[in-house]
Amino acid sequence: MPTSNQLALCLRRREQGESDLIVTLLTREAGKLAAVARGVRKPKSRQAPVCQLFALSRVQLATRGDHGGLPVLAQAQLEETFYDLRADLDRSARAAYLVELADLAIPDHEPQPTLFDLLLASLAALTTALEPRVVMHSFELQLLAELGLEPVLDRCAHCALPLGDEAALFDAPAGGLIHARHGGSAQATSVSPEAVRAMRRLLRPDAYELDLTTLRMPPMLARPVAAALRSAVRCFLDAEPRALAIIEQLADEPEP
Amino acid sequence: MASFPRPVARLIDQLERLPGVGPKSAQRLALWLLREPPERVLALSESLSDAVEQVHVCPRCGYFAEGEACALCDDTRRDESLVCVVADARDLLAIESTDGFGGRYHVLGGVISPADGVGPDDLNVASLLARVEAGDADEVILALNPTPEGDTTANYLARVLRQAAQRRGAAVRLTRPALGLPVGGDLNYADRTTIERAMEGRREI
Repeated sequence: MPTSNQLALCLRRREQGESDLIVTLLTREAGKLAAVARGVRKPKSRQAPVCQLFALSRVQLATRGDHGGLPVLAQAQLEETFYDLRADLDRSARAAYLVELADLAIPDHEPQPTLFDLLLASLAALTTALEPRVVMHSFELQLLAELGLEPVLDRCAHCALPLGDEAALFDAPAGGLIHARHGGSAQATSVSPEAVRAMRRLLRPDAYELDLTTLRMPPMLARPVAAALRSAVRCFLDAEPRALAIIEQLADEPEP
Repeated sequence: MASFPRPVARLIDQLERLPGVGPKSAQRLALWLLREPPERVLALSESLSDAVEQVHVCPRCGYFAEGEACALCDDTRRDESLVCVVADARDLLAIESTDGFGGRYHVLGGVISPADGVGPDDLNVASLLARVEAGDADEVILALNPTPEGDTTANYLARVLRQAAQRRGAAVRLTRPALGLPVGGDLNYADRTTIERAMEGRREI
C-alpha cells in the first residue's frame, strides 16, 4: 500500500455512509485531490479535526484499489485551524469564499505551490485584517493572475490605448478595463480612477509583500472593486461561488 | 434497448433524491421493494404519507409537532427560562437521551455554512430572537457542534441575541456546552485546540 506524506488544507467535505467522509484536500506537492476519511464522524475519531473546513494538517495518504480509487487518509497531524476566523461571520464567510474559489479554479492533481501558499497566507491574513475585504479582493486578483487570467488594468482591453483620464468600465468579457466610450457588454460595470488604482495596487508583482492586514478600502472604493471582480470570477472562471451570496447578504445587514 | 417500466423508473428517480443514495443504490432499493410482500411496501408508503401529512414544524421551537405546538413546548414541567439552541432534531434527541436537561429547545434547522450557501436568513433565527425579545428566556445555551460552521453560528447568534436582549431592556445569559476531552479519550492523541479548550474549561474536583 503506497503512502505519501504531505501538508494539506481541507477545502470541502462530503458525508459518505454511516461515519466516513470524502474530503477534498489542497496539497502543496500533489495539488488538489479527494480522499476517504474513514470513521471520522464517530465522536472519538482522532482524525475528525483534520477533516474540518480550513484545517491545515500533515497527512499520510494510502493509495488503495477500492473506494473508486480514492486514497485513504491513513494518518494526520493537525497543524493549524485558523480558529480565530470562527469569531466573526464576515471573516468566516470570506474565508469560505477563498477556499471555494480555490476549489473551483484549481484542477485535480496539478501541483500549484504558489496558489497553495497564497491561500494559506490569505487565510492567516483574514484572521487579523483590519478590512477582510482587502484580503479577499487581493486573493481574487492574485489567483486570476496565477492562472494566467489576469484582467487588463493598465490599458484599454478594447483598443489597447492608454486609459488616460477618460471614464472607464470594467468589462470582463472584453478582458478587463475599457474606455467607457466603447460601450461594453451587459456585464460591464463603471469603475472610478481610485478603484482602478486600488486594483492595480493589489495586482502589482510586489503585492505579495503588501501587509494586507493593515490596508484599508473605503466602501466607496470597495463596491465597484467587488462588482468588477465578481464579474471577472464569473466570466474567467465560469463560476458562481455560493459563499459570495452570503457575503453580500451580510453586507446588507445593519452594522451592530 | 430494454428499460424499466415507467412506474419503476419513477420510483428509482424518487429514491435517488434521498441523501447518500446514488443511481445504483436507488436501483437496488427499488428492486428490493418490488420483491417484498405488497402489504409491507404499502405500510412503508402509508407511514411516509402519515409523517408528511400529520407532522409539521412547531412554530415556536422548530421541532416536529403533531398538534399546534410540539410535545416539548406543551410540557408545562419544563423550565421556560432556559432555552437550548440546537442545529437539528437529531441533536435535540441526543440531549434528551441524557435525561439531564429540563429546559426548552430551539431548533435552527442547520448551521451557517457560506460554502454551502447557507446564511443566517436560511435558518430559524427570527423566531429565536422573538422568543428572547418577548422575555421567554433568561439563559440561552448554544449547543452547536465545535466545528468551523457551528462555532461561527454560535458567535453570530451570541451577537444578535445580545442585541435582542438589549431591545428588551434586560440581559440574557449566553452559554455553550463545555469543550474538552471525550469520555474514554486519550490526551496523547488529542489535537492542540481540544487540549487548549479542555485546559481553559478545567473544573475543580
